[in-house]
Amino acid sequence: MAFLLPLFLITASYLCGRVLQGFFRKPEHNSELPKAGETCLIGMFALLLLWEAMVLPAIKLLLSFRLLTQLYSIMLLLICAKGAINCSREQGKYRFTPVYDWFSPAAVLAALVFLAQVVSFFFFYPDTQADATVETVVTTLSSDLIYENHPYMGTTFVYGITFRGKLVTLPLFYAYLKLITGSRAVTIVYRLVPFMCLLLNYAVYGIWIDQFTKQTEESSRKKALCFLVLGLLNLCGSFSYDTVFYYLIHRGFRGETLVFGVILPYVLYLCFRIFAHHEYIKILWLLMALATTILCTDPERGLLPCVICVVLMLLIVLGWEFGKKVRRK
Amino acid sequence: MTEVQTMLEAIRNAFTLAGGTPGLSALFLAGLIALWYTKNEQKKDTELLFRYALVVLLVIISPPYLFLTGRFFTQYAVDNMYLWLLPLTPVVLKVFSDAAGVVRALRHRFIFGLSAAALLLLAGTSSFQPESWKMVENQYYIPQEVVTTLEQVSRIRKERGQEEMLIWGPRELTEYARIYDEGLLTVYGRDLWEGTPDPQMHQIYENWEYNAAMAMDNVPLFMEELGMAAEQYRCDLLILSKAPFYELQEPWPRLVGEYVLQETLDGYIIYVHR
Repeated sequence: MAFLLPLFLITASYLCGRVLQGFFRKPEHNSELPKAGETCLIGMFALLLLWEAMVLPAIKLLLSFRLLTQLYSIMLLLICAKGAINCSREQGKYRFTPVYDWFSPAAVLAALVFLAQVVSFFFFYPDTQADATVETVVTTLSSDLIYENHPYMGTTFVYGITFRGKLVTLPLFYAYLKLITGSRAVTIVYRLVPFMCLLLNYAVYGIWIDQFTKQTEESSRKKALCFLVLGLLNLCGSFSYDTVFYYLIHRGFRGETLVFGVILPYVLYLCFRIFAHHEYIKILWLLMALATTILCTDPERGLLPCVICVVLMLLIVLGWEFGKKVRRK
Repeated sequence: MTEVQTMLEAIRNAFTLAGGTPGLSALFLAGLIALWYTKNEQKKDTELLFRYALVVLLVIISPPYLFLTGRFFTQYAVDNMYLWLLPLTPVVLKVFSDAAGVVRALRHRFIFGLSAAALLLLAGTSSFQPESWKMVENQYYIPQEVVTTLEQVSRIRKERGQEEMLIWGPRELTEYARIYDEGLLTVYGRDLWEGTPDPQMHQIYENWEYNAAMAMDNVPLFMEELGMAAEQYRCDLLILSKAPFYELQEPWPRLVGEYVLQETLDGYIIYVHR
């Protein structure tokens, strides 16, 4: 049951993404299908933000965790149903383009390298130094309270967590996943969540790779090679501490991993689309991505780096445009 | 002069760590040069990526940034997370994607693929740390000898019909008790000896708790203090490691304060409250 969780999350986030994309862009006949990776990313951010929006009032109202999960499950089902209806309605409007040559040597190797990364979640100890994610999941479920008990001890907090600390609701989302699957907390946190994070990492760099290559038959092979390079980079980079690749492989359940492995590359991609291609509709996705960092980790480690990225990109583009104007004069 | 030297050293370190490992940093730099070489021939995206990568690199090795992180935001300098702003993966992907477009013949493709893999392996493995690759011993992600003991402790809790049981034991048991059985409560957490993992979590330990932890770490020497502290914590179960008793060639007592010997396991002795 637990191993169906990634499939469920991917489907739910895709459907949620389709609902959101449907709000802002009505498809015309024979238009291009939105990129599945980007749809999943947007959907995942939306699901996490919805979770945050429901947890914060629940903390204030001292609601039980189980009641919160029931309400969230209802919302999730409604969104999925709406997404499924949208998909079936818009089915004939999109044209499908063949993307990958699945059985080229590079594609097979890329799949093997991806598998090697997934296997590492199952066979090697994660780095749990200064981390209380599993303990938070276990404590939340056993006490049925939200951030009222100390994760390491299980007893009530003497001093408690600040409101800023309570904004980080990602471990509670893992508790929700544990509750709906009925699996062990370690299975969810150390195996399935890093797997999901890796999938999202591939999704976000898939968008980057799409940007680098054009839609031709030749580009399919190029894309497969790029995925192989990405996998090798993740795997080989994880041999050393203090790299984002190490976090992806050994600490995939941490909020920082989601920020630096998924959200930040996506924010950078969005900056490209907004500033270089003037796709201003993407500002909404950018704001969503920035808001998602708040529930992942401290603002200094999540929101601030992403804001720095946006500001730097804005300054670079402004400087570039200014330079062009000066040269023209 | 020393301040200048320190700054130069900091710049060198930041540059080495910018990509994560010296090998990856070198790969990034090579990618940046390749982007610079091709940026005029290609579209706006490439030029923007080149400019962004260059600006971020210059910012993170710049003296003002290093001065600020070294003096005022030391935590961020320790984490090195701001170095991850560097678009290493996009730059590497872009360069490989462009290079793959140039290589046409099958033989050349094979050589290109092989050398690309070798290059990435070399770049990544230049700082291989084998200690971060330890095989999991069981499905609980807990060392096997600890699982065996926690199994017994959990059994005692169930036999006594207690929904929750407060235990106090050595560090390795305290660390994993709640992961194994959510019904086991501990008197202090890993944060007591590791430091708090979350700056927003305001758990403040009193001095006597640090003393109690110290007594537990040096078991046969502070048995009286241990009994008193366990009483103060109102523990249901007190668990001691056998190893220190063997080391000092001393028998373990039948009574520790108000706690009576319940059973002995492979490496541990369990006491229950009278």
